[in-house]
Amino acid sequence: MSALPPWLHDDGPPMDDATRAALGEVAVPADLAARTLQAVRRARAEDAAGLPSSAPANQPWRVGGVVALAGLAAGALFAVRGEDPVGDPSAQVARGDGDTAPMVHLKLAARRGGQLERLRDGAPLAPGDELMFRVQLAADGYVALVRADDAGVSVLHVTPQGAGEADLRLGADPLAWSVDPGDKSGVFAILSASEPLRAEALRDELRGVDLSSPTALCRGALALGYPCDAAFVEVSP
Amino acid sequence: MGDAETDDEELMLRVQNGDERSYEVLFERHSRAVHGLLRRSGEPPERAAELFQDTWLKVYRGRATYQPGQRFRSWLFGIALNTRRDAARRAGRTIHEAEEDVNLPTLRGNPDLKLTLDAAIESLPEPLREAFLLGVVYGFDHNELAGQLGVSPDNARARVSRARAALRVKLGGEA
Repeated sequence: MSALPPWLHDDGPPMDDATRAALGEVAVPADLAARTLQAVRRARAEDAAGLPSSAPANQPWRVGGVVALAGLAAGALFAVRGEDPVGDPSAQVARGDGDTAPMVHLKLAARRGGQLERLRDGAPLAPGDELMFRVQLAADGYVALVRADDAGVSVLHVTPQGAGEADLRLGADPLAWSVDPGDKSGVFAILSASEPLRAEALRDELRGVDLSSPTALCRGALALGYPCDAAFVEVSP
Repeated sequence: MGDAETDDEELMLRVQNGDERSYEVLFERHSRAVHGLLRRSGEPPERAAELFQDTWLKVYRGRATYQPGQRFRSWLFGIALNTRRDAARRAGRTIHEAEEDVNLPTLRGNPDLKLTLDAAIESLPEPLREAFLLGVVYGFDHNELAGQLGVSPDNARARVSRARAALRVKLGGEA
């Protein structure tokens, strides 16, 4: 029908700019724009407060636990029996991206004094606290839990992981990282791949990566082909 | 070069290097389109507002994952779409993947083409609506569209073609 706009035909011209704007753009309410920019400024401030350079200079993480696969330093990583601890904590920092490997998203929760809570950016952990991990993966694949601090990088856990959101587990039980006296602040990251991951090889690859912040670590991981999400976890003495 | 003349990709690289002003320029340029995408996706205003805020927060938090050479707008829309899909999944909602149901009433006779198009687009099945918006309204090419939709370029092209055909029928023209 001639009354139809030409861009409704497969062989027609592209949609004109005026129609694009009329159909594709919706004004953003001023209060929504202000709230959004404020949230970003807050995140930026939290990032600045949580960078390793401003973190307390603690002693190296104590080696312990049962599945320190290929690390330089590995706190106490263990399974928490009979619990589904992480629930739905809020998202942390960057989202991964990649051409073939599935996108990955890391969420963290902390158990303090028996109480589980979402771990917010910049909220410090203390000895006795436990850190737990929830992973969201865009497609079936493999993930690696990585920790980095100024002593180097550790690959703590590698596992196949199904699409969707689930706690990292050891067998049937959720995985947890215990914070011990003398443990220090560092970055926890989750990396994904479409092929099985080998902890030793991955650690060797990551040795050339800037580990100074979640952003730097994920930028390096992504350059190696691993979608990545990471968070800085501060530990108080 | 001032911010107004700087392309999106250069601004995003500046954001990666901590430039707050560049982020705000990108927000100013693209916020209406992101809001439009979320509203056009059938989300109620309150929900669209939440998703909008989450999207822009993820642009900041995920700035390290932006790769030089990547088209910023494509990356941005990918974040918006994934944010919406993730939220729907968490809420237990399903974003339907059925593609063929375009047997809906036509809107013949409405003299206001924009209003007619609004209603016709809204009535499209979700996969076709998304393909039409991204491919025709927002102007992504078939390769970008394929990435956004998680399908092959041929499938993306086919969805756009079916969406156009459905809209022609709904607007009272030939298929």
